Amino acid sequence: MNSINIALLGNSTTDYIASSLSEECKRHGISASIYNSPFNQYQQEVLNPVSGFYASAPELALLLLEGRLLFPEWYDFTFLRSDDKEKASEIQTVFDSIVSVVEKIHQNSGTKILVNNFKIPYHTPLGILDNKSGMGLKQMIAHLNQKLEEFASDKEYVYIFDYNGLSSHFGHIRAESRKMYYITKSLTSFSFSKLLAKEYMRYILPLKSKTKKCLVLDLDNTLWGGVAGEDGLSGIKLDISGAGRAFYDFQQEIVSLHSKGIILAVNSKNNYEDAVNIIENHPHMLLRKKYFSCLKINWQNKADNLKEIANELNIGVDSLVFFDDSPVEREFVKTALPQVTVVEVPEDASKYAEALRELVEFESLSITEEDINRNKMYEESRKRNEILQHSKDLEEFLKNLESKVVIEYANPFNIPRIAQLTQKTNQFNMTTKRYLVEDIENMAGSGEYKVFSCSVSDKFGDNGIVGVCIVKTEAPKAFIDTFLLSCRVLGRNVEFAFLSGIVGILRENGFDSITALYIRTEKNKANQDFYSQAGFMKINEKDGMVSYILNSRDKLKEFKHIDVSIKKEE
Amino acid sequence: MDAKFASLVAGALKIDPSRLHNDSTAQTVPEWDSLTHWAVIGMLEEAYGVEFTMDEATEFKNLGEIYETLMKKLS
Repeated sequence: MNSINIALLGNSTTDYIASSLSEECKRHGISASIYNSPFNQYQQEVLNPVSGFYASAPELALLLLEGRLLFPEWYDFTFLRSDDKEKASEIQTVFDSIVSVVEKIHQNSGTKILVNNFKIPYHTPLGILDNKSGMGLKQMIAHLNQKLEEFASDKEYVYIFDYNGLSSHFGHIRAESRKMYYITKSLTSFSFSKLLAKEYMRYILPLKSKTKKCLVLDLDNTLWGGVAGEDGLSGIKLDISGAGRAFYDFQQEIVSLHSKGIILAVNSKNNYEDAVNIIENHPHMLLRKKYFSCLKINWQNKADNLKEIANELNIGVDSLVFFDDSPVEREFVKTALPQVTVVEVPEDASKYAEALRELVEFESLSITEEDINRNKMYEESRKRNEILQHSKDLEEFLKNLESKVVIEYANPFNIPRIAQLTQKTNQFNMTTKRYLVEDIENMAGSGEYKVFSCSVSDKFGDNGIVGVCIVKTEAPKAFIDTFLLSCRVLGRNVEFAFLSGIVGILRENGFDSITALYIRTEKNKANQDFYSQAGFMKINEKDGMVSYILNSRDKLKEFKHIDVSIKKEE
Repeated sequence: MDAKFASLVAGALKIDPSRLHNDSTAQTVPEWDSLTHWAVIGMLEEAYGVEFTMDEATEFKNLGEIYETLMKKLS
């Protein structure tokens, strides 16, 4: 099971959030060790490099400061009547103190830091005059929140959580329980603590590579109202006004997931022609065929369809999210394929779009070029498969593809993608070591490591950066710490071309003896013999770990029809 | 107290409902501490759609009394 260390720093009692967070992590298959800093001692904890906070080795630190306790004087009528300059300098003081806490944490540890912004209350001492003559309480807090966002916007290590937004969304009144506060000093009600924990998962899941890649959709009463085979093109409910608008809005929400790089697929019990007729010809259908990377429209059971979808897209079944209005189908899938995330679809179609927005599984900590282009790449890959089917053998297929492999040293432009690939790649990943952007920067900056990215293109298009190799060097020896490729370029000998390029660079630099390691996981078994196939010699095998060596005179497996080039280090 | 009530409270305390009785208190049920107490109150308020006052939530003899207060609110 995946695990994570989380530390909470607060100025109120955060025990309820801690216990909700640990339950929520468990629901997502993550075992969380949560360090709850002593009540209102976050500053001491952060300043002291040997505090319990740092000893807990957090991967995520949550800074949960309640405004009313941090700057109580702002809630005072007389203070709010003071000069705007004085109020501005108050905002600056509070802002500086938060920034210094964040920077201190960053200096002393590698943790990601998530900072709650501050609730803007509905009721203020000035009442309806809060926004008359000078800055009122609401404007002060809004300013502070904005400054925090600006501060965090260009930093990898700090994120601002919209605590104010979530409290408003949920209802400020329900978000806190006054009686609980007086007795326990906790400012979040029982039910709000649970929601808060759920929303923090938006950060925790991508941090632990547990996000989902593909949304699988049913058709009848999901993408439109009614049944394709009975109601037909003109009878189904899907419109830009009236009740049919619910389905249109739902589709719009799906389109925006697609643009952010989520793969879409269909899993529906229907006659193929009936369904595709609607998808392609209905005037208000937004999700035309080209949006879907895989269409399973047949009478087969839905669990088998899901397995085939995962297979064809070359992703794990546990990367799928299934959205189907039928409780029977959902139950069936939950039982047959517990790894699939099954959405609790509301009965009322007017709530579908909201149900999709509530999913926390589709976030990422940064958006890379590849995320945006991913769906275009899946389309190219469909075309490639057509060529493969028409080629007489693999050799002819590879010749037709005209693949090019470009190896590049790590640089500020490819580092985010390199880190992301180490987080997300499971199948063709020799050691499955996960690295953060900061780790990659450190390795690339040290003399001890060489970090490379690999881009693959062919005549159908550019796949972008799809491979990573990290080599630990100690002349004349080199050790391949990480070697991975995104599965969508496999089956084209690209892995051998990439490895041979790396070996070429290392030998040119005088590293004669190259060792490599394979660590077995649930997901990378299919590629366990890669190094042997490439020409490395097995030297040791123990507990699912296999070591290999390539000596200076050993030859690598030959490959044809792939052009390998190396971008020189700047 | 009835089975629904007992199972809700037991759920919040993460214990078996059979361990709960009308005369149960924080002393007789070690899992019932200041932290889990508010989980109990929160869970009951959510499940029954009622709200306890601060006094009701903090000044009670035993579990049976919480149950009686709840039943009064529901009637």
